[in-house]
Amino acid sequence: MFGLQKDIHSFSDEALMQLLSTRRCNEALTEIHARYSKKVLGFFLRMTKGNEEKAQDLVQDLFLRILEKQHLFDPAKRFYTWMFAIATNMVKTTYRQKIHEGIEEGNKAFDFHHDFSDNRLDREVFQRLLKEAIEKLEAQHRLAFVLRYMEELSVKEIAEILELPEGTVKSRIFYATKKIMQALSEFTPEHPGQHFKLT
Amino acid sequence: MATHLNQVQDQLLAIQEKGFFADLTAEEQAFVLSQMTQAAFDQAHRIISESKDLYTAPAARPLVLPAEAPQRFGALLAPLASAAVAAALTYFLFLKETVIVRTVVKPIYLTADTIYLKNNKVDTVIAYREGKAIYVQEESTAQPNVKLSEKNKSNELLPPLTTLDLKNRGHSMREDKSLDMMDGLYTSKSSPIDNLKQ
Repeated sequence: MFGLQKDIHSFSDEALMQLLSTRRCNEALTEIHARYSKKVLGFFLRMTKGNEEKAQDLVQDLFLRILEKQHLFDPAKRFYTWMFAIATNMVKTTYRQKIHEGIEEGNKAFDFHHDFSDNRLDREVFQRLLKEAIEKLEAQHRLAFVLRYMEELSVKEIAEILELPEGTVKSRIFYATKKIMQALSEFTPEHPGQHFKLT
Repeated sequence: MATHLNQVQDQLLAIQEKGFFADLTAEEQAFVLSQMTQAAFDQAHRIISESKDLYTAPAARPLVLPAEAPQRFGALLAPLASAAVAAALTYFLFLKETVIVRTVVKPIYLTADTIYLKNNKVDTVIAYREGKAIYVQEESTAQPNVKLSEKNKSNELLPPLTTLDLKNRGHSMREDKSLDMMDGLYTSKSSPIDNLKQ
């Protein structure tokens, strides 16, 4: 086991899952947690409108589900996508339960990046409005937008996670962006209706 | 709202992700301007690029794993042990014939080679030497099987019946005068009752 612990950091995600499945090696799960806990915490924060307590609970639940559903993982597929599929389903369930209600404005999780450039104030205002605009999106549009531009997953990966055609994913991303642009119209000199000639 | 983008929208989405208007090729710029203003395009790309760094997530809580489940071998043993206990109980409660082993505290020492067992459901009697306990095992066997110890077995063969003197001697004890000599024993001739009658 010492040799295993020594080399576990060099294992791929998929190899760690196999280790977890065949040897029930909890060190493998701990390693996966170390790699992705912050990433999925960010995802849950974005999807729960910054409710850090809920997001932390969801992270914990996610890794317990990975432990429970380890036998369902197909080593031929990417672990990262599989993990986000579980996380996405958890978010959908959370929406159904309306747990996400009660956003705490000014939550510590919403610490904005401070840019001390000349346009710092402008950027802070823009980011605050952008955050609000994203939160006001319909759940399906927000999910697609977050996965694409915040988690930086490919359209193909999102399609796999959401079990949707790639065209539908692209459509959701496109219209999500368009709605955000409309919400941020004060930052554009033109009328939001003129942003896109195609509707 | 269409569930799929048309070719133009699809291309516009791809270019939006690529960069600001100034970063595009001349051909792409021309395409963008045919669809929207430069300011709107830059706004769309700014939304995309700013979103990446919109939030900073704190560190996640340490992973708390549930109490370790029994190992596979142990998990296999548990039901096996339960099954074994159940099978043993079934056997002893329902299948196994009842055997009563009775220890006789006060032994009976056999002094003869013939034992009469009356009203006893005894199948085996093992008689050991004196000082040994006698165990009686009861079972529902019709024919008792009697085993005697070496001490009580007789190897002596009985003589043939024809060699025995079984003839009638022609007199009875009443006429046997030798009996008169025994005290307290009276023949019919000289019984006290006869004397009283006389």
